[in-house]
Amino acid sequence: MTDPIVALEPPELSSAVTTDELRSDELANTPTSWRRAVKRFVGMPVPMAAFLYIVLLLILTFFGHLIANHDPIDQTAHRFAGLSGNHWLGTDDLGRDTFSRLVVGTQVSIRSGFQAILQVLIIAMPIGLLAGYVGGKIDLVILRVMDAINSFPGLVSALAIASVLGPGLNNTIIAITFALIPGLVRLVRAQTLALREETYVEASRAIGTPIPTILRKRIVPGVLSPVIVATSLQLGYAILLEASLTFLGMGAQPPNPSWGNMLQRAFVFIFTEPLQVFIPAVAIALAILSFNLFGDGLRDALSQIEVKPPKGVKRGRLGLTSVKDATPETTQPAGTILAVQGLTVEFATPAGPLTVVTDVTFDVKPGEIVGLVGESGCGKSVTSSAIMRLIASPPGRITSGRVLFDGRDLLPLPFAEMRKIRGNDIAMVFQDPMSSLNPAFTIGNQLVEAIQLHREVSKADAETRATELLDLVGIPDARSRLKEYPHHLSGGMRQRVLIAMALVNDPKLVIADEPTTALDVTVQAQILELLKKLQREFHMAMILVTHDLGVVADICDRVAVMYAGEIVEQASVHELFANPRHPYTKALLGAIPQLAGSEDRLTTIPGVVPVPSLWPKGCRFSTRCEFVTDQCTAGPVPLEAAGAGQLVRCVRHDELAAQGAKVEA
Amino acid sequence: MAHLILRRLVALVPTMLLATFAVFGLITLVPGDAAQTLAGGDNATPERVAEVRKEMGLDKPFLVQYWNWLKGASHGDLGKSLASGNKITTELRQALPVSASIVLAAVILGLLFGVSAGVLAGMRPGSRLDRSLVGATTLGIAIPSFVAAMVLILLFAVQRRWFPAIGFTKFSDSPLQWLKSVTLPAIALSLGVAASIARQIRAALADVLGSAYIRTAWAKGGSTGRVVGKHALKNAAIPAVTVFALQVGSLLGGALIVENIFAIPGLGTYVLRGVLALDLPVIQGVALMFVLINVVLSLLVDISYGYLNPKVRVS
Amino acid sequence: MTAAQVGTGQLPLVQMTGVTKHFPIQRGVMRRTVGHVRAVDGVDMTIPSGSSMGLVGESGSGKSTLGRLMLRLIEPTSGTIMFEDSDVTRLKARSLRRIRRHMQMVFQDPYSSMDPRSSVGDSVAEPLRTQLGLRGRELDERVADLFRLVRLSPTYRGRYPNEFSGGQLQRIAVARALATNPKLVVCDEPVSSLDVSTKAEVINLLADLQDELGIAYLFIAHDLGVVRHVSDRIGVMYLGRLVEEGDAEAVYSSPKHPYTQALLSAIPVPDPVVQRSRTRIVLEGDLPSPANPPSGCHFHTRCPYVMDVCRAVDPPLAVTSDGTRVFCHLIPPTGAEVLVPPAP
Repeated sequence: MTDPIVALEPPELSSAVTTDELRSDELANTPTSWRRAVKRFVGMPVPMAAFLYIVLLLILTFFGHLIANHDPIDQTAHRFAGLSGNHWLGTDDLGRDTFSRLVVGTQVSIRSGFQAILQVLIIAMPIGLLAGYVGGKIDLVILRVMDAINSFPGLVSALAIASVLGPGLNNTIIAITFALIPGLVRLVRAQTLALREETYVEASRAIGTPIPTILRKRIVPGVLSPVIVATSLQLGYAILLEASLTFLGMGAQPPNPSWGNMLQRAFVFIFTEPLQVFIPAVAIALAILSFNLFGDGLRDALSQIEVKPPKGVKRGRLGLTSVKDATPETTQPAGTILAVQGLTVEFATPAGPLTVVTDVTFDVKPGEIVGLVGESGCGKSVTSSAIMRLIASPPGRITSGRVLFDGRDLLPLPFAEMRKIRGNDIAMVFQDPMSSLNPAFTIGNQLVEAIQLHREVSKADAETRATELLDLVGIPDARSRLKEYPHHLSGGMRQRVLIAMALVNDPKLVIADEPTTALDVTVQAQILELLKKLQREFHMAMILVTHDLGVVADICDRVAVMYAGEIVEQASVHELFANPRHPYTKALLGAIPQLAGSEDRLTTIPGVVPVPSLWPKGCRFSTRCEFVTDQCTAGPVPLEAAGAGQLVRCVRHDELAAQGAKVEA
Repeated sequence: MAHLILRRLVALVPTMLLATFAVFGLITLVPGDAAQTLAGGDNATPERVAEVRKEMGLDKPFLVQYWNWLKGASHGDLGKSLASGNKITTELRQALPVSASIVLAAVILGLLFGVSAGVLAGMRPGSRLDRSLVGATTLGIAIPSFVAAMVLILLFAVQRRWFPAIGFTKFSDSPLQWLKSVTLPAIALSLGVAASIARQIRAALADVLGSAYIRTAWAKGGSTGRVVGKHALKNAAIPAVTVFALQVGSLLGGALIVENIFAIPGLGTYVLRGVLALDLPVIQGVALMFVLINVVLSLLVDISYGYLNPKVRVS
Repeated sequence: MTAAQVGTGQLPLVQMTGVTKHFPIQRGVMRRTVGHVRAVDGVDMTIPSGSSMGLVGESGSGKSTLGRLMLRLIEPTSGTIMFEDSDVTRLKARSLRRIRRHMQMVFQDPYSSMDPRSSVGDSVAEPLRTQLGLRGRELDERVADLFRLVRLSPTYRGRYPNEFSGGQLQRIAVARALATNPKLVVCDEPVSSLDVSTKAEVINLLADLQDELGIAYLFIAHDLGVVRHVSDRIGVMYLGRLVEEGDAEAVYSSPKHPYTQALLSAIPVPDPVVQRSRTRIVLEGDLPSPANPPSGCHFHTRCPYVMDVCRAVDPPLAVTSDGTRVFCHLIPPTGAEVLVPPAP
């Protein structure tokens, strides 16, 4: 067993819903207070059991001699007496009562654990804080010293120190303390270092708060929770070290009982009296186990992320979104390459399933660029991932709808069929070029893979094709770039690589999810020009997911505006900007800070985008709409045709259009 | 590569000096008198003790003693054992391969079981398989290797006499007996390694599978084997490598007790004997050995980091 | 002629002269310095009291670093920063802490600039406690006032940051920055992490507060549209240097520097008719690394009008007739108006 601190694994991330669609919903109303952590901890059965066991050990530590029914060093009983009503766990080779020795021996393990940890905390906390906050030369020296101590396994250095100090429990505890210090110093240092870089610490400095106050109020509370977790795990390790050292003859000396020396003594008779070995061994293992489980539970209870498993979505296949009821295939609407009909997506949450996209219907014609626009949390990214069935199940699931592509419904398809479409007929370009390329493989490797997944071509041919495409997307010196890793390229270049990767198999449809959001303005301009050029050359259809209405105005043919999981308006790009029909669209257009006309105040939309669990009945914009009436909240609002091929989800759209016309006139 | 190794070694010189100096300082604090022990214990005449002290250089100032030891060590001379009178390098040469065979076997077992359990669990976090594997790793981490060793002896050497309970057979004497004598200690040692690696891989894999580049790999039309086995695992291995190195370090500590239990004449038994007999040069020699092993380990970790994560590759 | 005289004619609140920040690039175990990132490379800038300076540029332009230098949250490599009549770069720790009462900051992401473990009321109270020494009732009342000032109910103050939306939390961050009645607030991309509808809210609030309280802003953003709404003057940065600085109206309506022109033309206008009729200046290539900036004019590698002199010589300051300060070889330092030739 290593010092558990250095082997700490990251907290549970897997069960968390990472989609931004649910952001702040799960985290809301849960301040990171100790009270909440305690409440969560109490709800976890295994750590609670471990905690109760630790309480029992503490009781034995203080009252063990009262509970023991024999004097632990009394040798009057028979040797290896066997289990009886008098000797519950039998006797040892000198006729001493094993149960009494076990109970009284608890004190040695527990006391040495707690005493060592206390000493470690007192020494390591200030050193770690100093190294982490001050940094520089002091940090370097402290690190070197800790490295030196760490270059011996904990047990070896503890043994060396114990042997120098001489046998005995107190010396053993000092040795254990010494062996545990580097781990905690490193933890505190790393945590301090991380916290020091936090913006809120910088904010405190900007306020002019003195350093001691910053340390006390901003750093120490943040260091504390991982330290408490680590301390619990280190307690288990300290008990292990104590038992090991005692087993080797260093710790508590006979005749006083301890688990370690009981084990040492009994081991001699392992062939004849295995039970006497088994008893202290189990005691040691159980104690360590309970401290570890307690620590693991504490960490989960203190973590920001919800540890309760989300409910409501069954486990699906890895890499494919599950579909609840795949309705029978219908025919593809004429003249469309993609028709999304009634698409509804839900996510599992600890409180049960939550619908995040409701009844989304739109289609894309060959060679057309359709914009899917909305603020974060509106469901636009979920919609685009759901088309490719890229949402993980759990937490996500498509509950109903159809995704008709090129004459087939994609939703009932098995993984093997879906795989043939992905990257071949439909390709995706993602938002963040920094993280969407695998950092561990070269550009060439990833491009060649994209080709060879769908075509039986040699590596050399695939490389030639990859080079052509890199050329096409404007990457200079394409051939030599194949050997480079993603981190060698700038953000704009990586986005070009991702675009090239999407185009290698001549897809009929490209779904671009915020392709320029992470880029600088001048680079965004380059990428938009590139997309326009490629779309002209390849005549592919494209879905462009974005929050930027400027980007929409620049390159889209048609637009669907999403709000709170629904499409609220759909129109040709010219119609939408010239005559927005939905109050949300109108407000959104007025809220954009523009280059011209700075003197106007921006239109604001009162309130915030509601999280999925708080979506109003009826019109979902009703809580923020200035034109709201009773009929808006009466029931679900259908998407209705209005004007020249426009679709609007507003019960008052006709009325409002007439009013608007009147005002203008 | 040679450059990397060289730089790494240079960087570790201060650590090595610090560590050996600390051990040296610690040993001089030992209450017993090494010269007295060497001269024949309590019965030795004061003259004889003084003579021995001079012979061993123990009458010189502390720093001079350390300097002399360093000079010797740099020429591969670690002095003689006080207890046996043999050259320490010779004794180390005998003990090291014994420990190495156990530790290496434990490492291989640990990697094999750790990685496969980690991948199985990490692919489906929250599933029944995952939960039972996580439960098993919790046990694996909590059970001390010496407890595991005793249970193994009870089960497979006492109840079923499949393996010898104690002793070590050299590979050159009998490969089969060697394998038998190595099996139980290696299993006992490997439990913790396997459990820690499994946990790391599981957590990292579950994390990596949610990352943007994995979504890209699915979106390309990648199969499960390709996405998990190629794209995810190489990235998930990075944190596991760190833990692995730490585990190997602690294996050496665990080997100390496990060798003692199985009565195997390895490094652990050797250093334990040295510590109990306050055999100064032996402790010093083994300490240096541990530091060297650490250097090699961290070098290996660096090299594998470079392979796994091109970003840290040194140009 | 200094910018202050060109501008509103008020006394300068902040005057930066030749401010430079070079971050060392350290490698190896001994942390040897192998080079420098020239984040800010000799910037002169004046902010008159009560006025608002918008600072725009892309990533790596050094605009955020400049904002932090102004408050001396990081140490400048060289140059002076006068705040009223004290040189911020020379202040001792104590006086620096004291002067920070007059200069505050609003950060980009409110979720990371507010301590998640403290209630928002506690965070707003921090400057009141440390700078003004307020306690008890007085402190409570002042905190409540500040919440009202940013149009939020004071009943929210016991809540924690994760209970707020980004827009609400950013308003609380603004309240914290205004707690000590500062004369200068550095806003570092205060709305770039917010959604459109909440963005407008915060921009309006910041503009209103400036009118009400007469604070000076250094408003840093990459979005020129945002900056436009709150700034009297605009500075454009590229690779650590100020390339153009002038009256907001002038910079937007007749940008002088080729980089400013490209930047403005790169922003898509949310109107398909207008947007599709514009000609966009698409710059070639990527932003060079600030660790190894091009010689002469830093922009010469991407400039559509590059001349030989641009590669060799740092462009001199030129002041045009509308008071804009430009650093470009195309504009002679005589002060005569010379228009950049149209795109080839």
